[in-house]
Amino acid sequence: MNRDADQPLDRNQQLMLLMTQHQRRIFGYIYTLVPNRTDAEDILQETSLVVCEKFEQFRPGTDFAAWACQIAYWEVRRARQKFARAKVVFNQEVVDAISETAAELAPQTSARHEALAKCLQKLHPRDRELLLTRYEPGSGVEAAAQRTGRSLEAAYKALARLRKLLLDCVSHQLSMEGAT
Amino acid sequence: MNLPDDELLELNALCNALIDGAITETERTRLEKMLAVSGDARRFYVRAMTLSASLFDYAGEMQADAPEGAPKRVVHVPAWVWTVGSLAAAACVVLALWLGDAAKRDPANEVASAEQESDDSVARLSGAKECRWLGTALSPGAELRRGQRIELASGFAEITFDCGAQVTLEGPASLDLSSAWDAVLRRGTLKANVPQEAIGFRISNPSVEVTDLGTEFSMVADESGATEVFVLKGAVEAAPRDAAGNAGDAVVLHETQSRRFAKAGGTDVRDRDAKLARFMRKVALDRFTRPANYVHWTFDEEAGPALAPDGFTAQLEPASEALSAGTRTEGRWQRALQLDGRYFAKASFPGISKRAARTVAFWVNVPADAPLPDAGAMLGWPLGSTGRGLEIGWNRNPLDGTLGALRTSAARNSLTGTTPLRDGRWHHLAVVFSPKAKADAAPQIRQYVDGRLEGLLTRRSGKRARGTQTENTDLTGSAEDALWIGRSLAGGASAAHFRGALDELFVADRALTPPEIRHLMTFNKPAAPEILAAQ
Repeated sequence: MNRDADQPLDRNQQLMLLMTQHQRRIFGYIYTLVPNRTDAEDILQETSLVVCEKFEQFRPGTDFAAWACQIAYWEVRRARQKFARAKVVFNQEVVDAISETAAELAPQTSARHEALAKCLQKLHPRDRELLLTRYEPGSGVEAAAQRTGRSLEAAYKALARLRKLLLDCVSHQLSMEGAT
Repeated sequence: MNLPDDELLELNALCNALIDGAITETERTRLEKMLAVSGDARRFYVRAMTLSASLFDYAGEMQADAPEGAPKRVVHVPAWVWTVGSLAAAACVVLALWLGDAAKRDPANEVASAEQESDDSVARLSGAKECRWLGTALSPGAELRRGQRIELASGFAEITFDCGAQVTLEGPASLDLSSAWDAVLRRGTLKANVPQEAIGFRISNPSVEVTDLGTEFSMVADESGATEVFVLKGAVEAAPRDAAGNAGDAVVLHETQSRRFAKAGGTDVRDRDAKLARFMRKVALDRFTRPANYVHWTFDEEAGPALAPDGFTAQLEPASEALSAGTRTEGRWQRALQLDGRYFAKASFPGISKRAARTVAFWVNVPADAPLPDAGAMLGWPLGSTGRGLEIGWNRNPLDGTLGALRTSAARNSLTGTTPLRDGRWHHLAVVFSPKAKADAAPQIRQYVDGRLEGLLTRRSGKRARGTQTENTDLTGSAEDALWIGRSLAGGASAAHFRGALDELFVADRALTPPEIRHLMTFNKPAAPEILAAQ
């Protein structure tokens, strides 16, 4: 609902709408290549600017997220040149291979995100609190451990266990939905 | 996944170490190697990282400002806000879109009034065929104002009134729009199609006043003021008027009956059969339907996203564990959301606070014994970034109108309906918002209860004008783009909650027409443009 109904969307509004819709997927792609939240957000911001500048080249009706992810890919490469290894943790060959795998799995991204919501509901409230506190903006494992009354080591272990649980739950959820 | 268990365990541990920033150089090298050689490892890695990216998203929804004592809720923080900000900073995007105070204080309007405004739209041009206009041409879909005169030189023009009545004018003709419920035929021919919900719709002129009783009828007014009335289906009540404009005894005309009314009195219509046959013919009109995007919550599932097309999305999150378990009840269509006066839900909804046309439609069931303190809003959302909100609930102040009737408050304006909702039955509600041309004007609100237009506008001063109704204007939190379900926006921890059940909530991104609202009510899905065109 990003427009006045009487007015057709102008180009800028289209851009905002598309970015709003697809930002999560673009961020997910960047985070896969640059597995650090702050760094990935920086690159997302750079990507947004380039998307904005090049938006005239985008062909309406084609896959916006895929187009923006291509721009993000080059921003990741640029970040490597600019910051050496500080942001990009893998060599370029591996980054390219991951990027290809990410493109291959992209069609499932949205369904997995939605399935995750259901899986989160199945967690014990205490586990869910730990997990979501860990992922809150500005938080981390230490803050999550403190807030939920766990030792740091226990928090690391619990987070690893919960992530695996959620990965399995999401896959199970999708296979169930696919079966019905 | 064909990775051996030990490799899978190792990969999982490495991914976790990477995500949590605890990875050593040796581990990083090992992970890099695994990813370089194994497609399965890469797929696991991508899924693990994407899961974490999603968790950032969901965790951003945690709200620290849940009212004390209220269940903790989950809210989307629209991450795109800062992106848009960065775009604006780069001067790429002009953000001249919305965020207007929908109702600035106007000292001239400090007294409560019960009149609708003259610039309100009361109808729209919904169809046409070969129209030639006298004076300014009307564009397809044009909103028509109270008091507006429609002057058609030739052709056919279909006008859909906000009450749902549809009038097809045949030129040459002249029609004055008095309100959403009545019009004056000055001269020419019209055919009116009045659905059940618009019974009471009225067309008058100096010779006669015709009140519809649920029907299809035609009127032909000549220059002298004499008017012929033909009933094609159902019945009308026709009251002749004398030269002084006084109404005489009404007569009820039934299907295929007709009557000519003139200042000299009523007579039979000449050539009745030929004229009736002409009016029975269907005119193929070009109908104007703008596309609409809908968000639809069925409330059949315990939680989950709305069924929404691309470009218009919102996500409903369970506001509490309790909400996700045992808060569903038998609904109007399958299951419904049951709110017990304590729980509420909230959905992030990018753009909902902006000044734009929209319609919400849903079913509600309010217990007959719902106490006054449980008159919290069924739905609410902020208006702009001004700390004011819009709420839809039921009226608990008898001074404002019928107790228990649908009440919509937008800043200092409120609209109160007439049908009491507290009867333990399902009612279909639709509220339509149309922004006015003046940037700081409050939006025009139309309310439909079970498909029927109803509501009286009250404009309040900033002070507590009358009774005990809370001024639902100041929000407790920031004006985030969120739709609240089952709780008033104002009042913080003591905010009133709604007790009752909600079902099949639709939000559309434009003002829906009465036929579209009836379609939602009847079929529980948006009307396809071709269905509307064929009506």
